[in-house]
Amino acid sequence: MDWAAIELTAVLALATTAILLVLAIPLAAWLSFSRRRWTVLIEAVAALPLVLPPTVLGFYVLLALGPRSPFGAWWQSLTGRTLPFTFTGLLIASVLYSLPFAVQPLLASFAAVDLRLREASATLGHYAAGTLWRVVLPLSRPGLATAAVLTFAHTVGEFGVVLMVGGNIPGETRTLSISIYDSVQALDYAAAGRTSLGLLVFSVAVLTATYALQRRGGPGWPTH
Amino acid sequence: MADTLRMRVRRHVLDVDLEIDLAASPVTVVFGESGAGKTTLLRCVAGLDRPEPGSRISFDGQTWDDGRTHVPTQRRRVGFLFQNHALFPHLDVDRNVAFGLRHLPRAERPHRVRAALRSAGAEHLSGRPVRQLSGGEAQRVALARALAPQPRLLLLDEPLSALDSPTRTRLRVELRRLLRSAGVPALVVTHDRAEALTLGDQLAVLHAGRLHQLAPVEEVFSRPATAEVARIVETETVAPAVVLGEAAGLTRVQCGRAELVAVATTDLSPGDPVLACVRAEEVALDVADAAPAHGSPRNRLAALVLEVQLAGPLVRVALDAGFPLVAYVTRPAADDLHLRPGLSVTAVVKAPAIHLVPR
Repeated sequence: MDWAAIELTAVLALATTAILLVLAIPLAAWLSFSRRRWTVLIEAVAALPLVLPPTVLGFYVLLALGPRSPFGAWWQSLTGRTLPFTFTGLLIASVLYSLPFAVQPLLASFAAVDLRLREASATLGHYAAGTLWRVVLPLSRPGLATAAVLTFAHTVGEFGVVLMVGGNIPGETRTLSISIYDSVQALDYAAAGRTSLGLLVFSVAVLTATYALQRRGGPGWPTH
Repeated sequence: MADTLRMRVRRHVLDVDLEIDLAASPVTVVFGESGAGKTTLLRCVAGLDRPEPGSRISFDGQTWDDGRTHVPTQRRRVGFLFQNHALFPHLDVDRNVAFGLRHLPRAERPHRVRAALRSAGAEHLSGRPVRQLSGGEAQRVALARALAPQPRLLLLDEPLSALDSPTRTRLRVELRRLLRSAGVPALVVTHDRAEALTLGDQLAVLHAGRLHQLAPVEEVFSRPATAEVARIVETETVAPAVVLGEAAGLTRVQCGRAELVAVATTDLSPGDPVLACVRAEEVALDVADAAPAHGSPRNRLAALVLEVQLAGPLVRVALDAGFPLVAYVTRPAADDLHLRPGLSVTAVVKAPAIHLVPR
């Protein structure tokens, strides 16, 4: 087993999940509760990674992170390092790639919270942030769990984006799925088989946990 | 309390100009059929909906809404009671009531929660999960939650409609008492006549988005301002009365100079104020000196005809029977009795036709 790849993948998936929950909760709340028309556009952009080929996404992220882009140049002047083919670059790409897997379940469960409860909270003096924290989030626990589980699992399994943005540097950007690909390239089918089996078991466990959570606490994923 | 609520609210079909002196009439009932715009009006006052341009709402001299200003709900200090109570299902009774008390020091909150629960008659529910509450209990907790932050105005949207009928009847009278003792002026939206009669000091009658009448309860019912109001309220006579006593399932009340006998429906004790309601179709007229009856009707009242008006196939007769009373009789009957203003007649009403509404 490629233990370095397992550790790297676990750290990447945990960090991506943590960052995404922090980003996706306010984003999903804004998309759910804002009455402005152009939220539809933002919602579409946030769902884009669901339909976009990972290589296309990876290509654009690579360009955006490169030293010739404003963001890449700013980063380089700040840290003295470039982003592509580093763990940080990979993390940024992962966050973008898994965004819909965090946002969609949250959108569904936020929408299921009775509007009257939010209005009651407003008449009791709470603004949007207080209402989100004290009413909407506590009533969206299954959706939060689903978002976290799906984000984690999706990050563990990503391949195209990793290859485009991260490359294959052991200990820095070489994740489990890259490791499998490497083993197959090297005709080491036994190693590839072990890693693949591990990921298969992991995926089944994750999905079972997700569905069990949903059955207990209402919909966390859009069912319509 | 010298509070005045002034509003001109326009939104969709609604266009209402209204000024309510909340000190003179602490409980104002916004009354009308479904779709009349009552709830929209209430939501605009709460700041939950924004009225259209040309509207303005002010409370106690402070502008809440006009072309430029929109004071958010959070800063209006209104208590709102939702139709389905809208209690937070993830919090217990106490935490629901404490929800609006974030601005208070932590140590003060339990005291205020207890006080609010007490004033809503819900002390015994303290510590219970809200999922286990009955409709009536949830109603009390919702009221306590709205009262806890000491709002300046209480808004109630069909407060009793989510309850089953026996609970509704029981809570109606109690809600009136709670609203009076809470000392917070209230605006109550309802389409239920009994609810309007029980709760309101004055009624604002809405029909198809327009205000048709704003007047004390008795006046709206006895002197409807428009034909729509008369149709909506249905009852022509509503007169204040005081309970004299109860015997054999009958309640005697003093109504103006007259004494009436009604069928006892709710628990009343001597001295209780009530409203005596009689529909005009239930009042029969007889010649003045007709032999006092051995017949079944309990109420035979000496009355003076004040006014006779044609109303379709019927004749509407306004009477002074010791209190203002309206009767509908057929045209042949009116001719037989030679009805004209100044004539003395006997008004006959069966006891079950007199409906007593406790106040």
